[in-house]
Amino acid sequence: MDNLTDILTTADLSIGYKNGKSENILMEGLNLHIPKGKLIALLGANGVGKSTLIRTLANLQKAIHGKVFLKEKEIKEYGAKEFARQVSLVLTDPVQSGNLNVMELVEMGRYPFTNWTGKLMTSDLEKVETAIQLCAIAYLKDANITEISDGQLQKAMIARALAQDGDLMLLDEPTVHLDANNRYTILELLRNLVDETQKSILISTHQVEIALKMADQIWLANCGENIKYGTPKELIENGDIERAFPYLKKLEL
Amino acid sequence: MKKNSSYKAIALLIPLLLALMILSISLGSVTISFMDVLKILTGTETQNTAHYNILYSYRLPKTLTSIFAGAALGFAGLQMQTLFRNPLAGPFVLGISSGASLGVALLVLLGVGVNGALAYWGMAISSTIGSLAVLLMVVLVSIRLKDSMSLLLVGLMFGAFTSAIVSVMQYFSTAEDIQNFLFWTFGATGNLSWAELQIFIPTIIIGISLGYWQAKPLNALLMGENYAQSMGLRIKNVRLFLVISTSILAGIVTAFCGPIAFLGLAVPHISRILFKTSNHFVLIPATLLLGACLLIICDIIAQVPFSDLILPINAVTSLFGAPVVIWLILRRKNISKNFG
Repeated sequence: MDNLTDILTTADLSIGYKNGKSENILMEGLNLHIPKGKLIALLGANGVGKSTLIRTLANLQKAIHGKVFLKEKEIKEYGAKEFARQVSLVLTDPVQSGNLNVMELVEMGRYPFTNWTGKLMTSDLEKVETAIQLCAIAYLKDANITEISDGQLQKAMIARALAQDGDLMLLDEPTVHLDANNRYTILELLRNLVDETQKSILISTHQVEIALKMADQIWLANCGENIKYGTPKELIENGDIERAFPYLKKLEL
Repeated sequence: MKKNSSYKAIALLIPLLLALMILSISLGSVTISFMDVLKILTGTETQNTAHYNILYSYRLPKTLTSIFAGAALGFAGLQMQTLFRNPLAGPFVLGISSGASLGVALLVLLGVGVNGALAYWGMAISSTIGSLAVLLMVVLVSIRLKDSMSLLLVGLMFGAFTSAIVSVMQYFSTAEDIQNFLFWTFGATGNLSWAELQIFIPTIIIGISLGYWQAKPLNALLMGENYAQSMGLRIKNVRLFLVISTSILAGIVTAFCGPIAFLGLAVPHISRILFKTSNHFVLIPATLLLGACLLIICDIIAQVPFSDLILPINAVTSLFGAPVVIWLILRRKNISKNFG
């Protein structure tokens, strides 16, 4: 285990919700690694704590126990801006702001880098342009975000996260609400981004088949068990995937 | 970003504001001609001392009050709508004005009175404290709820609660105190002397500066609080600054002019529709200028030109404002989708 190539690691991490004195722990004893330049897919049933894990890694929510390290420094020791320059997010929160166009949305990604007037420098504009090119949404630049399709909006949100230009992108169910083709396109886009930019990307998804094809590593979360991790091949061969998703076997035509 | 063309459009509001200012100064129970107004303002002719006095001790302070009060209310509404991501938010809806009323009611109805030399300071401070208290409670609730509909209901409940306390106090107060309080609730822009303007204007400028400083965080908040945080925004600080700015603006205006309804809600919507942007670097100057223009227009209507009649400003803003908002909503069909 070479720490230098890990962007993010966790040490004995427990996640869940605290409500007053009662704790609702969803996952515990997590020792996870996100290596540089890899696409990791987090699979698991609804309610197993995928979103909570992503929110905890993204510093939006406190860990119940244990630590999260981003490049050998604990995430809670980062300043808000400093952290945002390293880690960007795509969440399932709906973004509904009628007067915003795609260009302005992607430009938001440069927020942690601009001064208080929000003025974009040449380097910022270049990053925005690169992000738009990589996500192939140049034709949407002037479109209002309420007027584009869900798939197009998701690409714009990914471009925004890309423009933020950290080493790590966390995406919570980026393919939810999308049709079959778009689900594939989005994951293919993420695969290409990892290859082209050497960023690390963690996604949670229910698209088991596509994830097994595209991801470098799988984190498999099951209720009442520890997360299993490995390459797609390993997890298929030792039968973990089949046990977690019995429907795959039944569907095999 | 079409920012530059927006700024050009906003710049057009400045001559409009100046024209309205002159119009508002010339109209009233005594009509002073446009040329005379200009002459008096530029100091070339001071023979007509009656006109000079009317202008300097009454109409000019009144017009300045309208400009700053309108700008303050419009901007306060914009901040609240973005912070709560709710198109119905505004200083009035969330109970901030009710808080201010409670502050003033405590002062006036409990017999501390409005007659002393420190009366205006007292009213300004008590109303700011009142609005700050309610807004802080609203923010505390908003941290727990995260649901804008519940928040709105909580704001309305705060309003109902404070009104009830005010009613109880009225029940036990003297007729004279009640009358004083009632006049305050009608709203008025003409009660401020130059001495009071020296408190009023700088306080509003401070409130506006505090809010303007948060223009970039306001833009990030359009994406929702989670995204805003993920982009490096310190949500608690920003929320606090917006709360303080809004309380100062809504509190000071309510203290000196009474609770002026509708402006805080409508001006941000009109600005978004006119300038077709959600960029706060455009929306803030737009709401400031539009708010000022609209309150002057309401003020001109309230003094019923060419008559001795003066209507309560609060009635005028609502009478003419509510239909305008309904029309805007119908025109845009889905205001919550186009909001922000």
